[in-house]
Amino acid sequence: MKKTFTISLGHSIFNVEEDAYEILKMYLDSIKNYFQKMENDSEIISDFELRIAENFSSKVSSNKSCIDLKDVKQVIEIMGSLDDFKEIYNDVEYEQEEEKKTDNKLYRDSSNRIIAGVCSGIAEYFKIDPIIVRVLFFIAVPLNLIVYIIFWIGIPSKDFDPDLRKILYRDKENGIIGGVAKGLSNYLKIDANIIRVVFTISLFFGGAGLLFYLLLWFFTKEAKTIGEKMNMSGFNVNLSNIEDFIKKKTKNLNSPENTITKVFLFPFRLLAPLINALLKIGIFVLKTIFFMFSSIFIVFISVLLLIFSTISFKDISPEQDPEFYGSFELFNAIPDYFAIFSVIFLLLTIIISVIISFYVLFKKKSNSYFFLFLIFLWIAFLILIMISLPNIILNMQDLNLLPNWINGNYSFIWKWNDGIMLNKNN
Amino acid sequence: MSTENFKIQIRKGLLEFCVLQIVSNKEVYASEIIEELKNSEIIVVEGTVYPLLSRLKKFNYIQHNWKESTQGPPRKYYSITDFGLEHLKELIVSWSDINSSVKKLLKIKK
Repeated sequence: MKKTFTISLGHSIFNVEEDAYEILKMYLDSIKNYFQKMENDSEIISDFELRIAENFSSKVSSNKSCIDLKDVKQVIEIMGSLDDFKEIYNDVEYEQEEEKKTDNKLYRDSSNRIIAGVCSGIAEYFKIDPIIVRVLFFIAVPLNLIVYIIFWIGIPSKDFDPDLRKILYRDKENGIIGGVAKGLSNYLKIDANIIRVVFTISLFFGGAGLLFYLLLWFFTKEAKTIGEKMNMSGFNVNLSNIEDFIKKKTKNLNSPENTITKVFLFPFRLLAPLINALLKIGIFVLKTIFFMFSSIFIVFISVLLLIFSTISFKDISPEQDPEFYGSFELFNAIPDYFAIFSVIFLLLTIIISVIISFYVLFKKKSNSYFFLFLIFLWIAFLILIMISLPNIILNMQDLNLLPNWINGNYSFIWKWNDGIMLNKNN
Repeated sequence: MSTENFKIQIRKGLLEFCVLQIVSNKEVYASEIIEELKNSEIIVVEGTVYPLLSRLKKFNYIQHNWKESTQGPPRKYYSITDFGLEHLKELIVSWSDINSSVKKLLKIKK
């Protein structure tokens, strides 16, 4: 008895047995990978799928209703493997390889990224593992945040060929808590249990291992696609490797763990659901707090915008409300252009914070170019406001409009090289 | 340079020419093209044809339209364009040139 998957391939529906499905999926993934790199054409893949579907329909009959491993293997034989295509299209491949060699520029790596692929791109440039760059970036965060944003804006992104290097992924499928130890074991080719023992022992020495574990958890991606899973264990994605990989995987599943391993892993297996649940709750709480703060912030800015826009565009004479005479005159002293800048600036602040909070809370991505454009506008208006602010404050001081607590104790002085300065009156 | 390699190189060079020739006769769908190529032992695996078809289409040598089929989903039928026909004529001329010069060479050897 075998499990089957129902798949839609080339507008037809097939039932495929589990092992056959795995192979078929890997085959199609590898083809997709190859032709996207080569021609950037999704049509080739849909043609492939159509043809495979035709082949499958001829294999299905009234007394054989599902596709098995033999059928898939036959179809792959008919369609050909990556090596066959490479023979025919090797000229294209050569071109690409040459491009790779000469093209040693710094790019953002869009194929392996956590935020914008800056760290991964730098790692690709220096041919080191992205995790190293990420941790370095994280350690010096306030300064590197600026560097990161500058790189984000200034460097174009590029899809790197993930087959060409070994990347540290988390192996959640075979892991126990977050798959960090198993991922490390795949990367370093050391038995996972040794790494787990090291992590456990290090817990009793100030918890350095825990910190390291958490750092790795945050800075690595989980291996999800088959390509990533193969990459994780140092396989190149091609057809013969795919078959080896599957064989190895099924063998691993069958081999039972020995008693020592079982005893050792038992507390972790027990703890794993608890830790995962705690993590989920933690993320939920963090998101809730973020939601509260961001909504309070947005409401605050909106109220500010409302007050500012209604008051600053009105000319209010002292007769209307003598009690607030002082503060209204203060608003009257704000020139119209400055009021316009501020209103636009506040509006932009609201829009940007809404977009950011949507992204953080629901992972809803907006158009990144649009977002970048907004950020640029926001910075531009911030600069405009900064430039015009000193003059306005000095002007207000001349008119004796500043609030008493400032007027009594402080005075503003304009120096051409230092900008505006606040001096304490003696 | 092995015989196998030689065969691959020749096939590779001629594949585009053969596909254009097949398409120029009548409207055909991918499986028919593959069938003919297989019969004349130009290709070994089917997968090699699809990227080529897509490339030919990109150069505007061939076009396709969808047609309902009696069995299964609609099929893509390929036909040659005027531009492709012109290209094919040039290819035929250069092919017969090469063919005759190779034949001449072979005769000299005998």
